[in-house]
Amino acid sequence: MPLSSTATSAQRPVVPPPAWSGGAVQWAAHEAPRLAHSENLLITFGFHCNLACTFCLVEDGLDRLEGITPATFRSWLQWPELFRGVTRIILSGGEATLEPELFDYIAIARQVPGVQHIRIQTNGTRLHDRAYLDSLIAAGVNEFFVSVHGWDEASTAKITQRNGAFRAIVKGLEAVSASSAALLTNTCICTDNYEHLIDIVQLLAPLRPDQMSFWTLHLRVDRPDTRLAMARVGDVQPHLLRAFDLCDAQKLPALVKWFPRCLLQHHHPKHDDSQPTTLVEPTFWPTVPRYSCIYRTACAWGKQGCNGLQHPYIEAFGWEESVLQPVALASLAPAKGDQDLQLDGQELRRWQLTLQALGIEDLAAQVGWQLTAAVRSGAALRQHLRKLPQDWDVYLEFSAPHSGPAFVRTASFAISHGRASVAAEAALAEFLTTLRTTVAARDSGGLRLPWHGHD
Amino acid sequence: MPTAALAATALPDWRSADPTSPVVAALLADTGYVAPIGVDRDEPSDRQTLYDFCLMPYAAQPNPLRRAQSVVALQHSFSQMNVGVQGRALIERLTAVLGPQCTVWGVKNRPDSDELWWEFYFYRRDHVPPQLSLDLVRPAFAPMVIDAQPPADLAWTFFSLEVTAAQLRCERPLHVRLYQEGVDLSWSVRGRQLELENHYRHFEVDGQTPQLLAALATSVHAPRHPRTLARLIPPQLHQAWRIWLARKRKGDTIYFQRVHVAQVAWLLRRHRWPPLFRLWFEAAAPFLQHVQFDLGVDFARSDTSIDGEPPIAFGKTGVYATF
Ligand code: SF4
Repeated sequence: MPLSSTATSAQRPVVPPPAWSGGAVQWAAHEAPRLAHSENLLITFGFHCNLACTFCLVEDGLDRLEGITPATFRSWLQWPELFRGVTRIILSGGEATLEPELFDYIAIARQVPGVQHIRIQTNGTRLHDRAYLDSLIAAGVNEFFVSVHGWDEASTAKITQRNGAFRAIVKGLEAVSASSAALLTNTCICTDNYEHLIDIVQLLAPLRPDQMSFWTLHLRVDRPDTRLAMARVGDVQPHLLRAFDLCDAQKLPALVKWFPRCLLQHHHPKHDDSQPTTLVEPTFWPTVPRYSCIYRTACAWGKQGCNGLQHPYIEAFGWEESVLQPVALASLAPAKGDQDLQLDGQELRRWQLTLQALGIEDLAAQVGWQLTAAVRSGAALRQHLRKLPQDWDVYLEFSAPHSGPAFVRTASFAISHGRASVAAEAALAEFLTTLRTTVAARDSGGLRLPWHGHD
Repeated sequence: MPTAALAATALPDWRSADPTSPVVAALLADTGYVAPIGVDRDEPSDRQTLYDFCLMPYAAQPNPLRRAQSVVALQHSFSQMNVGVQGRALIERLTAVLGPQCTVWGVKNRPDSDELWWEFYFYRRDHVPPQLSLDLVRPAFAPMVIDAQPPADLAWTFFSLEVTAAQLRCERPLHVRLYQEGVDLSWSVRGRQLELENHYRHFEVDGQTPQLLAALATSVHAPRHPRTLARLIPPQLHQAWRIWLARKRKGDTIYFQRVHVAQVAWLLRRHRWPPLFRLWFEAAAPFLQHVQFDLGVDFARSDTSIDGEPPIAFGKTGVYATF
C-alpha cells in the first residue's frame, strides 16, 4: 500500500505502479499494472483549501491526506504502458493552486506520452493573478475546471463559508475566459442553489465557458445527510431543465452528472455519469457512495451508463419509483423492433476478432461448449453457446460497461449470462468460472460492441 | 427505523482484507469448529459449482484468498448458542446420509435478540439421492423428535425442519414444513395436520422489476409511504439475482437470492444481529467471497412511525447457504 499520512519522504517505500481496473481505481500496489480504461486520468494531491464548501467531497481529507507526491508521479513515467490511451491528465485533490509543487506536477504530466490536455480543477480564486495564470498556461495547462456554486456574493459566501469568495471566483473566471485556455465550470447541485441554476447560467454565459457541468451533490462525508444538502430530484428537475434551455439558447455546451437521465426530457444527451480514472489514497474509496436504480435492469438507460441515485439519497428519500421514468428496453432497440437482430457481415467479422482477443471460443471448446449465433438484443450483444448431445442453448450478454449487475466486468464490457435449466447451468458453471478469471485479464480496453466500430 | 441505524450504510470493502492476518486466522480457527466427516473447513480447490438456497447451482465467485466453506458460518452460529457439538454432529450425519452440497441451511435471528436458530431444507434435485424423504433424514436428526406425519398424497418438492438450540438439546419436537414448487405454497405439518403457511413468488431482478413493484404495492403488510420500497429493498441488497416475496398470514418476507458476502455483513448490521456473530462474520467474510448467500427479511406493518420512517416492523432475518 502506498503512503500513510504519517510517512515522511525518507521512510516512504518505493511505490510500485498502481493497479488500474475500472472507474473507481485504488491507488494500490500491483505487480502487473493494468491499462487505464479511460482517456482521462485524475491525479490527486494538495489536500488543502482556502474555501470550505458545505458539501466538500474531501472535507475529511483536507490537511490530512498527503496525496500523490511529484516523486511518485514521476516514478510512474517508467511504465509508459500505464498511460496508454490517456489523453487528458486532471490535477485535483484539494485546491490545486495552493500546492507549492503544482508546476512539478504539470511538468511531469507534460511528459506523459499522448497527453494533449492538462486540466486543473480549481475554485478559481487565485486565477485573477494574470501573471500566475499565464505561468500555468505557459507550463502546459490548457483547461481550467472552475467550481461555481453560487450565483451572487451572498449565496457563494453561504456555500463556501468565506466572505468575498464570489468576487475572487468571478475575477478568476474572467481571467481564464480572456486567456487562451479552455474554461469549464462546475456547479454542485445542492439545496442551497438548485432553484438558482438558471442564475448561474446567466452569470457565466457572458464568459462563454467551453462547458458547464452540473454535478449532483455526491454525499461522501456526512452519512446520512445531516446538513440536509441533498435536493430531491423531482424538485431540481424543472430548474435544471430551464438552466439547460438557457444553455442551449446561448449555445453553451452543458452536462449533468449523477442525476436521473430519465428526468432530463429532451436534454437527456447532456447526461454523463462517466468519471476519469482516479488515483487517490485507498482510504477515500470505502465511503464513496454507490449508486443504484430500482429500474436499472428494466430501463434501457440503466444499461447504458445511467447510474441512478446514490444510496444515501435512496435512504433519505426512497427509490423515487413514481418519479423516475424508466425507458423501455425495446425503445432503444434497432428499428426492426425488439426482436434479436442478426449482425451484418462486417459486424460479425469485428465480433469474431473480439472473441478471439478474449479467447472465448477456445475456453468454451475446452469444456465442450460451442459458440453459435451472435445477435444484437437491444443495446447488448448475445453470444449463444450450445452443448451437445443435450442441445442446451445458453447465452453470454455483452454490454458497454455499466455498474448494474454483471457476472464479470472487463475493461470494455459488462458481461452477464442468460438463465437456463438447472442442469445446463450446472454444466456451464465450470466454463463461467474459467471465463471470469481469464477474460478480464485479456481485455486491456478498447474493445467495442461490433456496431460501434473499432478504434 | 431510528436515524442512527441509517448511518451504517456503507458496504464493507473486503479488498483490503489481509489474508495473513493472525486475527482473522485465529477467528476462523477458534470458532470451536472441527471438520466433521466429509466436510472440510476449506472449500475443495476443484469445487467450482456451489448451490443457492433453492439448491440451484451457480459458479463460485472469484476469491483470491483461502476459500472457507460457508458451513463455517453455520458451525459458528451453533457454537455461539452453545450447541457446537450437537450442531457439528448434525452436519456430519446429514452429509453422511445425503452427500455434500445437498442440504440448505438457514440461520435466523430477530433484531436485538441474542438467540439464533436454524432451518434445514431438503430439495429434490438431480444431485440429491432420489429416495429423499422425511424418513430418510429422520435418523440424522435423532434423537430429536420429528412428530410430523405428512399425508402421502401431498406432492412436495422440498421440505424443511426448523431447529432451535433447545431442540438440539432434544427438548422439543421439530417443526416440519412442506413446499410445493409448482404452486409455490408451503404447509406447516404438525402430526397429521396441514396448515397453509406461505405463498411464494419470485422476480428476476434483471427483467421483472415492474412485476416486483406491483406485487409489493398490493402487499397488505407494506404501508403506503414514499420510502417503503427503499426499506424493503434497500439499495445495498438490490443487487441480487432474484428477489422473492413470500405472502404470509401476519407479515410478508422478502428474500434476496445470490448476494455477495458484503451484502450479508450489511444485513447483519442493519438488522442488529448479535455482535459476536456479526463481528465473526465480518472477519471471516474475506474467505467467503466466493459464496453467494441468500437472505430473508420478515416485515409487517407496524402501528407506529418513528422519525417519519414508514411504519414497518422488521421481524426475523435469515442467512442461507448450503453444505
Ligand atoms: S429509470 Fe433509473 S436507470 Fe433509467 S434513466 Fe431513470 S434513473 Fe437512470
